[in-house]
Amino acid sequence: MNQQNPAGSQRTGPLAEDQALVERFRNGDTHAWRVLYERYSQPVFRFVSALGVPPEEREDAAQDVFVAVFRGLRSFRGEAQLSTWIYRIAARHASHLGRRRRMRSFLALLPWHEAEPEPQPDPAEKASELRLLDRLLAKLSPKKRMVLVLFEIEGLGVNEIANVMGCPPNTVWSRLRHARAELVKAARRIAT
Amino acid sequence: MKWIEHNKADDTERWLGETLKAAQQRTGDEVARRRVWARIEGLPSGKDLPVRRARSLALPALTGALVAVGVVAVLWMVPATRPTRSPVAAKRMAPAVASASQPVLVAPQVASQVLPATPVRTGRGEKARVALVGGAGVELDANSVLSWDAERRPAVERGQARFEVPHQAPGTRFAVSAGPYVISVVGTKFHVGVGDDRVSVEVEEGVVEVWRGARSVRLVEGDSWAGPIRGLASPTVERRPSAGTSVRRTSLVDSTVRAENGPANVELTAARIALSEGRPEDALAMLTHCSKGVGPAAENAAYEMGRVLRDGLHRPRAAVAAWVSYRTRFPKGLLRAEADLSILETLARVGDKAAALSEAEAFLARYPNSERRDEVAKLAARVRGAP
Repeated sequence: MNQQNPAGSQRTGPLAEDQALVERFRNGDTHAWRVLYERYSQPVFRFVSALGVPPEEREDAAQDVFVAVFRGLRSFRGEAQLSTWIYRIAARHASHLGRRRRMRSFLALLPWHEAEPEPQPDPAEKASELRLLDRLLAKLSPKKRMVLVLFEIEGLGVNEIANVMGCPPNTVWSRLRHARAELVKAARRIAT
Repeated sequence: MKWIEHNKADDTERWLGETLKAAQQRTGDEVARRRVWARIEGLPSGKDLPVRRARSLALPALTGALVAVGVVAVLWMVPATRPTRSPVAAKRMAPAVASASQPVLVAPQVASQVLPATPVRTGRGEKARVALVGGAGVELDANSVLSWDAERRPAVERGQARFEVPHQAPGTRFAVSAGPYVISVVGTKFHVGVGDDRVSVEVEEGVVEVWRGARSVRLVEGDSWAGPIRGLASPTVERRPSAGTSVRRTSLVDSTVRAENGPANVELTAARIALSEGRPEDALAMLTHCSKGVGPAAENAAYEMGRVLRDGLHRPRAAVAAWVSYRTRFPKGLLRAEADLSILETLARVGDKAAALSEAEAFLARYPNSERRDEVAKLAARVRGAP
């Protein structure tokens, strides 16, 4: 787990803090909601970006994720880590948006359908390497992309990813292996 | 083991490892995060959560796609019979159908895709029945116009319309706009009339709320109400109960303080609609009113006043003053960074070189890690280089 990622799986400190935060939220402490947002908004923005949500949809996506978190926190049973639970919500929402985008792309092929404008690169995103990485990630299937992003960028463990995606850990390993191979292949193709 | 911790086999894998590591450091746009926070800060509990309704695309799109694939196949197989109508014209067949002299029922999936872009008009002696999303329906009387506003709500532009709205899911409300008013219902039957200078509402069943900015009136079954279209405030409006009960007079109630989040947001929305309809003065008045309240909506309104002044009323100096006022009132506000940037951009635009540079330096000092840092630095360099 990288230090940047507050959604850590191996740190007891943040885990205990998360529990305390949830308790405070349940007891009506409104400041706890802000602390929770400050802690998880960057990971959520980063995660939905890495999953290919275009810049113009990221704010709405993040808003929907946090509204779902707000709604669910009172009934959050704590069976999974708070971070895993938030990632699961974000993953589900990003997948939904991805399906809608693919549907729109399909409809855009129809002769009388007005084509959607191409998504613009994030003006805040300066590094061309990261834009290239996004292009490479876009070549992966949604499930492989999610596994790779959760493991390599978000720093989750395989068991946590299995929890987020609702599949066995072996499936996560398998998808990760294929995703890496496909990513390298795509990168080599571009390099040549 | 993470890929980035491996000994990479070649340059490509090394590059991928390093780039993935760089992707871990992505922080997202700070201003975007603040904007989201401003929207979710005051979330009320339970069923009143103001969740945006996702555009209903999946099911209608799938149905449409299947139909479309069949039509495409037929058209391509018989090129001689292919229509010459443009794609846009094809889309606009709906109003012609809907404005036929006989009542027409438009399928809900068609309504949700096509009608929002196409007003439905009825001529003399004509009536039309239109199905709306969410199972609602509207009957348009003669000489009436129904369109859709910027929030994709049905909008009665002229004439008489009778709405039937089934009970909505918890947390969702059905809204109709009529002139400067927004009529909000959970499930009911009601009539809306829009004349040259008045909007009227009659409730057949259920409960209806009529909103204008932060003011509202609640109507129950049998009530009828009318309010003026022009003029910013309608302090007193007539409210006529149904026959058999005594006549009451009531006012639109100032609701900014009464409710937690919704009404103030309604006023913000109304202001945005007014702006999109080319009524920046109305928008500014609503925002000014809203900004006098408390909470996130008041903060948003205080910020947006600047945008209306600059972009709607073309008064950049007044806009800067509004944003400075925002900063004074909300020194640690969630839109503070955005206000700082707006002031900087506006000062640069009006050519106030010294003030713009001072703002740029203050921004860079205040937000050393902002992703907008490069942008601000470039803007400052451009201002410095300007004659």
